[in-house]
Amino acid sequence: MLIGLMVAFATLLIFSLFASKLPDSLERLAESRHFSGKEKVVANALLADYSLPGLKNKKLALASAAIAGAVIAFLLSYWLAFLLKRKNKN
Amino acid sequence: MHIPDGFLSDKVCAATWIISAAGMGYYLKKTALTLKDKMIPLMGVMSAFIFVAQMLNFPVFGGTSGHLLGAALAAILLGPYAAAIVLTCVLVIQCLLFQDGGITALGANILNMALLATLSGYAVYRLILAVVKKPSATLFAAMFAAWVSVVIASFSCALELALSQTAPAKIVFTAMVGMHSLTGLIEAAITSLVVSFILKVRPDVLYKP
Repeated sequence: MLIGLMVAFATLLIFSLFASKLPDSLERLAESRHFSGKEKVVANALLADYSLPGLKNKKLALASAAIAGAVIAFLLSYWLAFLLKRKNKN
Repeated sequence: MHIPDGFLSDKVCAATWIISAAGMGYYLKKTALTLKDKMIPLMGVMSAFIFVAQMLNFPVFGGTSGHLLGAALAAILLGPYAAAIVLTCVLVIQCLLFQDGGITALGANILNMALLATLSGYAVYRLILAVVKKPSATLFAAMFAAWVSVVIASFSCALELALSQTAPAKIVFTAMVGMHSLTGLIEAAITSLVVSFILKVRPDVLYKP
């Protein structure tokens, strides 16, 4: 099971490097109806648009962002689930 | 369909934030009551999987791309409550760290992709399994659930944009729901593939209410 998961993640990571750069349907709609300009940046995120500050190689940056995001997502959900379970036991 | 900041009106932002916050509050309570020990690592794994899968854009039609949503898959494996929490974790990380989806629009994005997509996907999945009482129905149910979850999320996204008067309702609905009924086909194919794989290697992982 664990090996299967690792293989699945590795495959996804490799595929993510070849992900389509085309706009998604919402971006497309915004372009065609001329409301793309309405987009505002409320706060600048650390890794905006899946890039890493200081990393010039875009593919490397994307792969690093994918790994970082996946690890953070794992930890956040795991931690939340753990807290919920503990709350229930008390 | 991650909505950025600026596309939704203040009213729609506020309303969707309130609905999502109330919904998640209820879901957290429900999850605390129903969570099984073996689901804890699975919630982590599903979050990581969905995060990476949502980075994988594939071309859909007419110069547009789409990506996997993972809501129906999460609901089939974790049940509707824990699945919504997993999707919310992914959306919060995408928004705060990667600027994918706006902060003021986070309520709307959670409502569409974490709450409505998991709930509709799970409802369709359970409904089909209740009507067709054969084990072979599982894959078909997963497939249809995945398609419905994507279309419902895009419908709600279109409704929010239309209510915000960002663009005329007819155009928004045609573009969003039309394109996502195609993206949903790929979601259906991948979801049923993953479910069929899990049925072979670890059938006990599938959520039982």
